[in-house]
Amino acid sequence: MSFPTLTLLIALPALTAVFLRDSERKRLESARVRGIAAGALTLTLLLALAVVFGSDQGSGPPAVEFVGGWAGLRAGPRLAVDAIVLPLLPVTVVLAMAGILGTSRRESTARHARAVLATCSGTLLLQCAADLDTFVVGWFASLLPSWFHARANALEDPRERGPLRILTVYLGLASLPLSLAAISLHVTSASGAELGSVVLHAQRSVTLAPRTQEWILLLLGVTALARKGMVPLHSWVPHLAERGSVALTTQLLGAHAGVLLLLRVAIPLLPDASRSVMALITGAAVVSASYGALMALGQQRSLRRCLGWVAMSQSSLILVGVATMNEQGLAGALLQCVGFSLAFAGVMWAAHFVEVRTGTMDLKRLGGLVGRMPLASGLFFLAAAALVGLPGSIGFVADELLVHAALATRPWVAIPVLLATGLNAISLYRAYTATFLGRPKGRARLAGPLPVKELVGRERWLLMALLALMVVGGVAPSVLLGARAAAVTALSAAASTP
Amino acid sequence: MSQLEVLRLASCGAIGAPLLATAILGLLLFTGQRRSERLVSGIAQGALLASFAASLVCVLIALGPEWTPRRMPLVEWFRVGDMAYELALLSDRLTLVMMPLVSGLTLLATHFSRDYLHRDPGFLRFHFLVGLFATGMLWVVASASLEQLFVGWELVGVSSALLVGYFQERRAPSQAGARVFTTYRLCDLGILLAVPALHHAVGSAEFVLSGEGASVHRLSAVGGVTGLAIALALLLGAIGKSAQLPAGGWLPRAMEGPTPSSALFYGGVSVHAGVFLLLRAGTLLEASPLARLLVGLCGLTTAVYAGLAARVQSDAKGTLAFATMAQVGVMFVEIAVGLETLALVHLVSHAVLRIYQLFRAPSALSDARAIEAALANVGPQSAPLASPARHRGAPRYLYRIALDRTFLDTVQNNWLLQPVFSAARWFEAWERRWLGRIEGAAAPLVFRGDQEGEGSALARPASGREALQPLGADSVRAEVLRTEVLRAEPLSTEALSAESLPVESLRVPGSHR
Repeated sequence: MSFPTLTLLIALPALTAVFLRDSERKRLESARVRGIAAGALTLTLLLALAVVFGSDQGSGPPAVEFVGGWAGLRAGPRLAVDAIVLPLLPVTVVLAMAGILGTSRRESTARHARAVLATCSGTLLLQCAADLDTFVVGWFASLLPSWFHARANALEDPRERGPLRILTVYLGLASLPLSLAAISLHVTSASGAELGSVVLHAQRSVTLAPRTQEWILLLLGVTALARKGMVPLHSWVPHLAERGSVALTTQLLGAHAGVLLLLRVAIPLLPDASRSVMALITGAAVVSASYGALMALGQQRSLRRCLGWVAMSQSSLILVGVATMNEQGLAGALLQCVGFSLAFAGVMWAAHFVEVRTGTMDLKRLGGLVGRMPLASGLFFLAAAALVGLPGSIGFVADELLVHAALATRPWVAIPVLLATGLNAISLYRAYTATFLGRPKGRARLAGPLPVKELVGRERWLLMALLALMVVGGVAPSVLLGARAAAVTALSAAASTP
Repeated sequence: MSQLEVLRLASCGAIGAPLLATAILGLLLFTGQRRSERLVSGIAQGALLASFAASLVCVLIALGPEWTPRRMPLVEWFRVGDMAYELALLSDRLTLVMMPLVSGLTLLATHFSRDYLHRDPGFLRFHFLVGLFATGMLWVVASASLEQLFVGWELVGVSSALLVGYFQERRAPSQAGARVFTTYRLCDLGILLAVPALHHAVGSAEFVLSGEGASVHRLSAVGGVTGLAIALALLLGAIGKSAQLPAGGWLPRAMEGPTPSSALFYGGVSVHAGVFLLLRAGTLLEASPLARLLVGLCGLTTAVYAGLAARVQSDAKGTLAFATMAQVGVMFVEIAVGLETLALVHLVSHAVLRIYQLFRAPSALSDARAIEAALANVGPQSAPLASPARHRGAPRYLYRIALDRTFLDTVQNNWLLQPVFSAARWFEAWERRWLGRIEGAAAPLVFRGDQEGEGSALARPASGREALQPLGADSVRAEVLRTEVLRAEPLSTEALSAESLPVESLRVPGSHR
C-alpha cells in the first residue's frame, strides 16, 4: 500500500476550509485566517513539490492512485499526475497562497479564505483526475467556490446580484456542455466503464460514430472556449477581473481548465474529430487574441478591466499552441500556462495593492504613484513585461515556441498573434504610465502624513516570489521543457496519427 | 589557453560585466537600499571600463595574422524536438567595430552623468537602466543569430522607453516614453515574424559567412516572395529603432529624457541599431532588389523630411534629433546602394560626433546665454533659429511643412489611432450593454465620458431597483457619481489605519450622499 500523496494534496486545503470558522472580531479574524490558511497551503506546496520531484516521469503512463483503493477498494475516483500537469500543481498552490497573503485585511475573512482553499483543492483535483468522472467533479469543484462566494456577496449586498448573474450564466456555459458530453460518452461508448484509464494517457481512443464524435467534441469545444474566456463566450473575464476577488480571479484564470480539457479529454479520446475541429479553435483563439488586445488598447478607464482584456488576449495564445498539435506548439502552450498564471497574478496583485491604498482603479484618477510606491511600480512593470513575453521571462520562450509552431502549421495565424502581443505590451505600458507616472493625483497628492504607503512586507515578498519564479523559468526553461518533452512528443504523435 | 578561448572569454566579459553591474544595481534598486552616488557610479563605470577593455582585447586578437571571423558557441538554451536554441557569440568585423564603440560611448555617458545627475533622486535608476541598455546593445552586436539578437533588441527598447520617461513626475516625458515604447514594440513585430519565417525558409536564423574571404556574418539569402517578405519585416524592425519614416516621429519626443541618455541612445548607439541590423541582413537584401529599393526610399525620404524639420527647430536637442534622423537616413541609402563599408564608417563617425554634440548641448546653451548677457544687446543680433527670417529665399510652404513635420503626426493620429480607439469604444459600449442585459438592469447605460467630457467609461446605476426608476439627466449624473464614490471608498482597514484620513475627504464634490 503506497502513501496516498495525491489524495492528501487535494484534501488538505479543502479540509482546512471546512474547519475554518468565522470570528466576531474582524481584525483578529484576518490574522488568524491568514495564519491557518497559509500554514495549510505551505504543507500543500511541500506535498506538491514532493509529487513533482518524487515522480519518475518517463514516456509510460503514470501510477494511478485510487481514492479508497489503498483501503482495499478498487473503485472511486482515480488520481494520477503526468508530466503535462506536473508543473501546474505547485503553480496552483502558489496562486492560492498569493490569494491568502495578498488579500487586504478588510477582505481577508474566513469566507474568502474558504473559497480560495476550496478552489485550490478543486483545481488540484481537476489536474490530478485520472478518469472522466473525476475530471468532471474537479471541474465543478474548481468553479463552485467562486460562485458560492459571489452568492454570499449578493445576499449581503443587492448590488452584487448582477455580477452573480453574469458568473452564473458564463460558468453554466462552461459546465453544462461538459456534463452533457460526459454523459454522452458514458452512454455511447462501449468502453464507458473503462473511461478512466483512457482519459489521461493518450493511449486509447473511444470508438464512436464520426457524427457522435463531432457532437461530443462540439460540446467539449464550447466548454473549453467558455472556460478559457474566448470570443464569443468571453465577457465574464474582464468583468471578473474588474469586479471580482483578485484571489479567485487569478485562480480561475490560472487553472487552465479549458486547456486541460482539450489535452486530457478531447484529443486523447477523440483524436480524429479533434483534428478537424482544431481550425475552429485556432480561429476563436486568434479572434480572442485580437479582440482582447483591441479592447485593452481602447482607452480603458479601469486598470483591472484593462488587465482582464490583456489576460484574455494573452491566454488565447495558449489555445493557438494547443491547436497546432505539434511538439513546439504544445510545449509552448504548456509553458505559457505556467508563465501566464504567474505573470497575470503578479499584475493583478500589484493592481490590488494600488487599489487598497488609493480606493480606485480609475486610470483618470490614478497617477504619480511612483514617488510613493517605487517598489510597487517597478514590480508591476516587471510582471507586466513578463506577461507579454519580455526576454528573461517564461513568456518569451513560450511566445517564441508558439510563433514557430503557428508559422509551421497555419502561417496566417502568426501575424495577428504577434500583433496582439505587441498591442498588449503597449496597453500595459500605457496602464503603467497612467497609474504610476505623471503628476500625483487623488490621494497620492494629498499633503500631510504620507497618504499612500509603499508595499508592506507580505505584499513585497508575494510579488517578488512571483517574479522570481517567472525569471527562473525564463532563464532556465529547459527544466520545464525537458520534464515534459516525452509527454509532449507522445501527445503530439497521438494527435497527428490518423 | 588558446586564442579562441581568450576571445570567447573576452567577448563574454564584455557583455557579462555590464550585466553583473545591472544585476547589482537592480538589487539595490528593488531592495530600496540607499547607496552613495559614488558607489553607484563606481559600479557602473567599473563594469563599463571592464567591458571596454574586454572589447579592446577582442580587437587586439583580431589584429593578429591568424584571426578569422568565427562563431563561438556558448550553451544550448533550450531544445524542443528538432528546434534548438543555442547561444553563441560572433567575432567578425562588424562585431569588432561595434563592441568597443558601444562600451566606450556608454562609459563616456555614465562618466558624464556622474556630475550631470548629481543629487538627482533617480541617480541609481538611471545607472541601472544604462547598464541594462549596455548589456542589451552589446548582446545585439555580438549575437550569432537573429533570435538571439532580438533578446538584446528588446532590452534596448525597454531601457530606452524608461529613460525617455526618466522624469517620472512630469507628464510629457512619460507620454514620450509611451510613444517610444509603442513605436518600438510595433516595429519589433517585424523581427519576431522574420525569425520563424527564416527558420522555415532556410532552417535557421543564424548569421553565417556568405562566402570565401567574407569578414561579416550575415543572414542567409532567401529568394522570391519569401525573401522579400522577410527583408521587409526586418526593414520594419530597422525603421522603428532608427527613427526612419514613417515611424520616426518618436525621436524628437525622446529628447525629453536626461541629456546623457539622449546622447547615448539617440545620438550615439541605439538609433544606429537599425543600420546594424540591415548590415547583418546584407545578403538577404542583395537577393531582393525591391527590398533594397524600399530601404533606399525610406532613407531618402527620411533624410529630406528630417533635413527640413531640423531647420525650423527652436531647441538644440530637437535640431540634433532631426539631424541624426537625416544622417541615419543617408546610411540607409548607402546600404541600399551596396556601400556597406561606407555605411559602417559613417555609423561610427556619426555616433562619435553626435554624442559629443549632445553632451555639449546644455553647455552650449549656457555659453550662448553668457555671451548674450555679456554683450548686453551690443553685439550682432541674429534671428532666432526657428524664425522665418533665417530662411528667406525658401518657399513659404516649405517652412510651413517643416514646422508641421509634414503633417505626419496628424495623419497617423487621425487615420490610424483614432479609428482604432473609436472601434474599441464602440465594442466596449456594446460589451457593457450586453452585460447589463444579463445583469437585468433595464435602465440605459450612461456614457460618463459623454457627460463629463473625459473619456469613455460607462457607469451603471447601482442596483436593478434603482435602475428601474425614471431618471432624468441630473439624477443619472448623481447616480453615476454615487456609484463612483461607493466603488472608490471601501478602503482596507490597514490603509485607513495607516493614513488616518477622514473618509469624508474622499467624497466626490457634488455627491448627494
